[in-house]
Amino acid sequence: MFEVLQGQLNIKQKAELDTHIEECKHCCDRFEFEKLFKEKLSEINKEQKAPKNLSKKVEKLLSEF
Amino acid sequence: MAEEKKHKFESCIKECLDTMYRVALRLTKDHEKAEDLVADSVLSAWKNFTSLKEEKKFKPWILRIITNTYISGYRHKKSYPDPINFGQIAEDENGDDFSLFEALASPFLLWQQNPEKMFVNNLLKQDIIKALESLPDQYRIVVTLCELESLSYQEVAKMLNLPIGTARSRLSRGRSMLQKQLWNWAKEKGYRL
Repeated sequence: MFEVLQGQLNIKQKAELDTHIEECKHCCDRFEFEKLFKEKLSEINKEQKAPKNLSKKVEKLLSEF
Repeated sequence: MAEEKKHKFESCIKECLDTMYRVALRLTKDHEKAEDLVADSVLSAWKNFTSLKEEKKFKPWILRIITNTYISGYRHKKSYPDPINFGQIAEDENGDDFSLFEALASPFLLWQQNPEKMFVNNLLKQDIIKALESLPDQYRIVVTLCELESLSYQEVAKMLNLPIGTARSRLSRGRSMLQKQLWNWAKEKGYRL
């Protein structure tokens, strides 16, 4: 399940997993939950931007190369 | 030629700066140290830029530099009683596989419609960040790189000099520990069980 969330399965493996998820309610619910949890983590992670003073520090460093 | 190389490097850095900062912050758990780590890593990356063969691999390449700089430099500034070889830590810490889904899907909670979705939607940003920061280094790094920054197991295993199976099991365990921490805090805060 985590392999599919990470995009790590090949086409055949994904098709097999998709078939199972369609047939097994528990796994379907679990998959949806783990997907939601991962999306929540990503959402919070992506809100974090480099602070302005870091951008300036890095620009200054780059100008010295 | 040198000018072109510099422009390419600058453009890659600017594109990845947010990601670099986020990873540095997850590693150091401190804004100031994260900034220093990013700056040191940019210097190190510039010195080694010629070793990068494909520009599209810049992101995993620079994240590897950040991770290695953190492991070799920053951790040693703390006083650890024994030096830890990051790649060979025994995988027996918190061996149980906790699942938030299983905990929420218990018959006891069935009176709620979709308790799992409600729980995730009610998770606060600060709780998630605190839970991430509570993970031991070897799990926090893999969860950050795989789960948050969507690097593949192969990329992470290569970056950390680990077998792919170890990267996979650390991600699985890291997720489990993260979910367990969130569950325990939710119970402490009186989440209705």
